[in-house]
Order: sequence, then structure tokens, then C-alpha cells
Amino acid sequence: MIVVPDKIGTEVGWRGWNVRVRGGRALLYSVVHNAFWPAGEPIEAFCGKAHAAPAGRCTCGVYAARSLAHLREIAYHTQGVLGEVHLWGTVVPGRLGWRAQYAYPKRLYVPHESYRLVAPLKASYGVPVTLINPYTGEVK
Amino acid sequence: MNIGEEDEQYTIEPLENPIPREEPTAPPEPAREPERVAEPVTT
Repeated sequence: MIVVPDKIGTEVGWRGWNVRVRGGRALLYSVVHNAFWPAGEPIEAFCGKAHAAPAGRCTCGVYAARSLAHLREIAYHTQGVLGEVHLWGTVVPGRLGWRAQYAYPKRLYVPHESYRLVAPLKASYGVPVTLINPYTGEVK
Repeated sequence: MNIGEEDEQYTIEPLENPIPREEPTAPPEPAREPERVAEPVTT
């Protein structure tokens, strides 16, 4: 059966991550869950309640905020690396963000003090990585 | 992370693959031997 999408393209949201080195590569780790974001392939949501994720009446899915300002409001800007992410597949929109089925970083922003992560993250994910002041949003 | 009040879900599919392809890297140039300068012939 051919499934026709409701929209074409991706939603673009904002996230914060921790960074850990795994297998010699710098990888993004979820701030909340013990889950890393694979390099070169999308992260796919799953739910322990045995239904396709994300589902409307659940809390599952890959989360992203609509803006950096919202990330700052909930103090995610202090967590480490920030970034814009492509979201696609099944998407549950909210007033402040989305829960999505698939996601992949679009652009990463590294705080000035963590400048050593710029090259390793660029090598891992193949996306632009720039320095940011996470408190003001100023990008260099 | 709070995403606020939710609306109905939908499906969205990218027109292009959002995952960057690895850039092909140019093969390294073969090392060249240093040029030899002909020594002057003295007779």
C-alpha cells in the first residue's frame, strides 16, 4: 500500500544534547534518556507500549522545540551542544514543539568553551558545526 | 521537554534525504621523487 504524506519536506526544531565519545567518534546523547543519536542515519522513535511512535495519546517520540528561546526557557541551553534538527515521518505538533518519528541534526552549535568538539562532531554527523554563546544565542 | 498543547498528528516526508552524504575524498597525490639536478660534467 502506498502511503501519501500529508506534507513534503521536514519540520525543523531545536534540541540540546550531551556529547560522549563512543567507538572513537563524538556522538550526541539525549539529555533525558540513555540514548545516543547515530551518525549517518536517522534516530527513530520507539515506544515501550508496543505501538508505533509517536502516538497522539502517548508521550513517545523524538522531541524538539520550536525555537532556541524555548530551549532557554526550560534551561536546555546549559546542557551542552545545541542544534537544529530535521524531523519527519509521523509528527505530533505542539504549541512549543514536536514529537517526531525520525530526526537528524541539521546544524550544531557548540558553546565556546567546548570548541574542541567542533571538528569531531562535524566529522561524525557531516553537518555544519559552529560556535555559539548559549546564553545570548550569538553565533560566531 | 514540554511541547505544549498538541494538535492532530500528520506525516511529513523529505523531498531530499536530510542526511548528508559523505563527501568523496580525493585520492592523495602520489609522492614525487625529488627532482634530480644534472651535475655539471667537467672534462
